[in-house]
Formats: sequence, C-alpha cells, structure tokens
Amino acid sequence: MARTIEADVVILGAGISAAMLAEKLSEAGSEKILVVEAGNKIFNLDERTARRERFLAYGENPWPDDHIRGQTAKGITSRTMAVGGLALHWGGTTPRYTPEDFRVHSLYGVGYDWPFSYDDLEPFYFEAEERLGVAGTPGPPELDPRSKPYPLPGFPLTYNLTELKKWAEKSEIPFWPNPVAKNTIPYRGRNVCMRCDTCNICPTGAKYTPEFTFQKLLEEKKVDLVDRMLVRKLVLAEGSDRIDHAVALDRDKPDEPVEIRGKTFVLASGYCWSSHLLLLSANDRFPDGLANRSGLVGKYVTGHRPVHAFLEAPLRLYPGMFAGDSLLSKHFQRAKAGHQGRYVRHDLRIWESSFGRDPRIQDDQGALLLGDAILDDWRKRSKTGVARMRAYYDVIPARESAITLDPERKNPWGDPLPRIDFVDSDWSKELREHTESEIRSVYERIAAAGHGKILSLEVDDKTYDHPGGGCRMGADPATSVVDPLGRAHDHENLWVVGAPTIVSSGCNNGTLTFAALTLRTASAMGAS
Amino acid sequence: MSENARRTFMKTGAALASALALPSCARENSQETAAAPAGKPQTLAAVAAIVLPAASLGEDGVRRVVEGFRKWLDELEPVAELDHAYIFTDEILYGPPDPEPLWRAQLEALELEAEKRHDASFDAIPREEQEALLRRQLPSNPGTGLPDPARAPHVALGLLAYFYQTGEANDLCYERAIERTTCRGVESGASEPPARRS
Repeated sequence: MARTIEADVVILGAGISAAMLAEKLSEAGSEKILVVEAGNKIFNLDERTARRERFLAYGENPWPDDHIRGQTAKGITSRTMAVGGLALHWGGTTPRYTPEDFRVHSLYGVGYDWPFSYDDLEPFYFEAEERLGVAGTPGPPELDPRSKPYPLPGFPLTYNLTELKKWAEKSEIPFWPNPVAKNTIPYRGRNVCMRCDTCNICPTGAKYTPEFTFQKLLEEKKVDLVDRMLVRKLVLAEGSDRIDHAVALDRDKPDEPVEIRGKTFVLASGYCWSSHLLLLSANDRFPDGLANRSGLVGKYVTGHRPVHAFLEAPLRLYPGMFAGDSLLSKHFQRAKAGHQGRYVRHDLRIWESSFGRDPRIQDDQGALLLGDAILDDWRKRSKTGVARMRAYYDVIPARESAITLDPERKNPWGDPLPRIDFVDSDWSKELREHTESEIRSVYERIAAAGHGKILSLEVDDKTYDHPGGGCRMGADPATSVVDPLGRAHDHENLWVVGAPTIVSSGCNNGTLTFAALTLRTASAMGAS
Repeated sequence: MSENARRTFMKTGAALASALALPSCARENSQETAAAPAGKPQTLAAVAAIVLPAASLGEDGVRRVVEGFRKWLDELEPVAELDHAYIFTDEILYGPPDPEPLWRAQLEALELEAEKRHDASFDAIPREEQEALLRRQLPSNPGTGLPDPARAPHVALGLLAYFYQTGEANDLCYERAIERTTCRGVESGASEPPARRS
C-alpha cells in the first residue's frame, strides 16, 4: 500500500516560481501547502564562505549534489534540480520585458501576441521586484517604463562601468545599470551585498535565492516541504478530468510507493520538467499526455539567441572590479522597426572584461616566457580596456521546437527522459541574417564612435538562453495549454507557473518575468 | 592525494619555505635533512625564483606564493565535482586526478639532471643553468595561455597558473589595489582603484 501525503495545494518543484507561489498563497493562511522537490534541500548559508573559497581556488561546485544522477534531459537545460532550482546559480539579473514583447504580432506582423499586455503584468512585475528585492536605477522612462521606483536603491556604478558608459554612449545609445536581485540595503532579513563578485555563490546572502523564502516559510510553519521526492506521474480522479494524486518516488525509499493527494496541483518545475511530467502522465483519456488535448504540451519552446562581442576601448580600465556588474540598454527593443523596415529587436549589455589581456607564457613569436617577462608582457597588453558586449535577440518560437519523451533514454527508475529540440520558426529563419547583421552594425557603431575596434564577434548558434515554453498560455484551448492565468484548459485543478507558460522569450533575461507571471497566477488561484 | 603523500608534500613545502630565507651555505646544509620522496625542498623554491616575477614580488613575495601553492595543493580534492553553468549543463564535470605524484617526479627529475650534468643539486647550479635545465624539461609546446592549475602538465606551470589566478597577480599587472574577489562594501569600487600596496 502506498504511503500517502495530503495537502490542499501541491506545488511540484521548488525553484524561484515555486517560492513566489508558496509565499503568496501562504499569506492567505487558510490552505495547507505542500512543496515537493525531487532534488536535495541545500540550506547552506553558514557554509558559503568556505564553499566560495573552494570555488575560487579549485572551481568546485559551490552547490554540491544539486542534481540527480541519471535525471537528465538531452538538449538545452540545467542539471540543477534542488530546492532553489536554477536560481541557486543565477547572477540575480532582473530586467523586465518591454511592452512590445507582448504584442509583436500586432506591432510587427511576426510571432505571437500574449493574451494580455505589459500593463496587465506591470503590477506583478513590481510585486516580484519587491519579493525578490530588486535594486535598480531606472533607465529613461520611454525605454524602461515602470509605475514605481525600484524597491531597493541601485548599486553605484563601478569605476570601470562609469568609464564604459561614457565611452559607449558616444554612439548615442543610452545605457543604464542592469537591475539585480541583490541587496543594497538590509532587506527581508538578508544582508547587504559586499561585492564579493562571486554571485554564483553569494557568501553574505545578499543575492536572492529561493531557499531563503522556503526556510522562512518552513520556520513559520506556513508550508510543508519534502525533498528527494521525484514525482513520476499525475493521475486523474475516476471519471473526471481533475487531478486526483501524484505518484512519487522517495529517493531514500525507492521501493515504497508514495501518493501525494491534493485539491489543487501546480506545476512549478521549470520549462523542461513541467512538460515532461505532463507527457509522462498519459492515460487512456489523454493518450498524448495530460493537459494535451491541443497537442501543444512541450511545443513552442523558445529562448533568445546571444550575439557576443569584445570591443577594445581606448580607456584605462582595471578588470577585477566586480566583473558581474553590467550596463543595459533597451534602445533596440522599443524601436518601431529596424533598418530597411524589417523586424529587429534586441537588448544590449556591457561588462568590464580582460578578453585578450590574460597573462600568457608564449609571446607572439612562440617564445616561452618565464619570470618577470610574463608580467612585463601582460602589462604591455593591458594598457587599453575591453568591453564585453552581448545582444539577445528573440527567436520566435516554432511549433516544432519541442520537448518530447526520448525513446532511447530512461532514468534509473525506468521513466523516459526528456529530449529537447529547439527549432527557429520560419519568421526567425527568414530574419536571422538580417538581425545578426543589424547587431553587428550596432557594435561597429559603438566601436567607431568611441575610437575602438571589434576584437571578436560571435553568434552563439547552439544557445537559446533563458528558455521557456512548452505549456504556453492563451485564451484559445486549441492553440495553448494553459489559459491566460495559468490554469490548464483541460484540468480545472491543475495550474502551471513560470517559464513553461511564456508565449515568447523576449530579448531580456527571463527570471523576473517568470516570477511576475507566477504571482499573477497566484492571485488568480487565490481568487478562485 | 593519499594522506602519506599529502603529508610529505606539506613537510617538504614547509621546509622549502624556510629554506628560501636561508643563505646559500645554510641551504646546502639543510639538504641533508630534506624529506626524501618529494625531493629536496629547495628544488621548488629554485623553480619559483625562475618562473615567478621575482623582481616584482621580492624574495618574501616569492616565498609567500610558494607557501600558498603548497597549501593549495595540499587542500586540493582530486576529481572534485566542478561548478556548472546556470542553464547549460549537459553533464556534471569532475576535476583532474591529484597532480602531486607527477609534479613530485618532475622536481626529482630536475635534481637528477642537475646531478648528471653538473654534479650538483639543482639549487646549487648557476641561475642561467637552472633556467636552461628547466626549459629543457618543460613541455615543448605548453600553449599560449596558462592552464587550469590542477591540470598543469608540469609543476612549474602549475605554480605559474596558481599565481596568475590570484588577485595579487592582477594587482601587480595593473599596479593598483583592485583586490579582485575581495569582499568589501556596497559603495566600494566607484573610484579608480588606489595604487597597489607594496
């Protein structure tokens, strides 16, 4: 007989979307909330200084065992599967999408409109910024619209970024500090950033990571959390389309079956594993997977493609001053149309860099350098500065861009693993050369205006960054998996939150948008 | 690294750190008491004086780097789980095996060649001969950049790679107190970094 765990709301996954959802739902206080995570619980603030030192010295994973052996997807995704999710490793970058991202079809005749506008999401953007603790300095209002100031004051620009901002703005492209979920003042019980410049392992806890939210909720007994519990299937109630329970595997007692029962189920497992679980849950009535009458579960997965560049700038810079800090511009996201009237939208970021200026042991003639000759050579090559730049442009999702069950790979417990195949839509295929050419011209414009030069330019072919989709939202059940609020069209007590629900991936880092979407869903769940 | 080997390297390292501070006649005497398996402690010290920027670091600085390198090697965990990217993680990667046995053998090889060519220990032969000998034993094409320290194919390159990933090396290059990866205040970094503290 199966061990049974019961709750009112069962949240599957314990990443940033789950943290936002659990916190907001718990504030109503009337329902028993259970968070189920397949990976480990890593609450390690007191170990982080030591972990950071080993990361710096040896490159060790500061979040050891943040993954499950054998539970892997083939394709672009993270191996991280733990309480905190991918956001354990994130850099805390939290820009919003722009209003145009929600209306690209109406405005530009390409891609898909979202079922709501930026204005509809704006209050939830702010709520997400408050809950995460986003520090920012607003950009020009016409480029960076927002109804309220950032919850936390922005970081002062480093010397390097101040110089790079002046230099890059000679091109008449405005830049401003990239907003981040890091404390510039004590906030929500967490410390102020000490600019350790190892944001993948923040030793002070100034950077938001979801396990802080879960720790607080657990201490206050507002939620229950079980980790190392892999949910393998969702099962419908007899004669109904409602989800009755989840079949799970306790990784510490794999021979003891577990059933998790709830009134409401929420998939908060990220873009890959949310679709994967729905596909795994196929049954007689839903032979293609739950929530999949449309046939779109796992489809329309998307991300943005990066175009990287390193530009030499005639500046004296000092690499090593908080290399994670950056400048942002949305100048090319709000443009009505690109050059020649064709659709081009992308963001722009700038970081300090030491590209091409690292110490070396062979000179240009191939002679081996030793002793002070290495330092002398390094000094000579470091007289001018380098800007690392990156543009994300949106890849318009294609139906064929999909997560499927891999017929050739199973996890250690016999379940088919996901396979992810990204495909550009016909729109993106047609626009690609033009888009990348336009981005190149932007880099050339910045270099020329600042009397610099492009040292390197690379389109990252294999990357669809900040991926999402697979359970895309929409008003029409024939063309979407969940409704505009995140509820599955096919199952009244099943919701999906965060990255899987996006319609398109915009041109900015996605985490804040995933969090805002989740909070919007949480409001709807509360109302229902 | 086995516990025995680790302890041996530690012992040798501690001895070489002391040896660096000694005048040459005292170093000759200290050879008699050096720990055997890791070679004479002076060997690594002599290698450090050749490959590190000794003119900029000074004798104390070179000794400090060698001590740091020894501690780093002592605390290295072979085949450790390595950090992985935020999103793109096809597989979990693990670090290399313990480089200490290879590096120990390379230090011993420097001694052997010095004995065979000069009938003297490596640290006792002239500086130019030391460098020539070391260059002969380094890989013929070590590449342009510095390797991951733990994957360095030669102990001299391991020492170099270890040093040049430190904030101290970065400060030496720019001659400013940038103090990379030093935790400090939220307001810091807004001004041009001050001159490096010597």
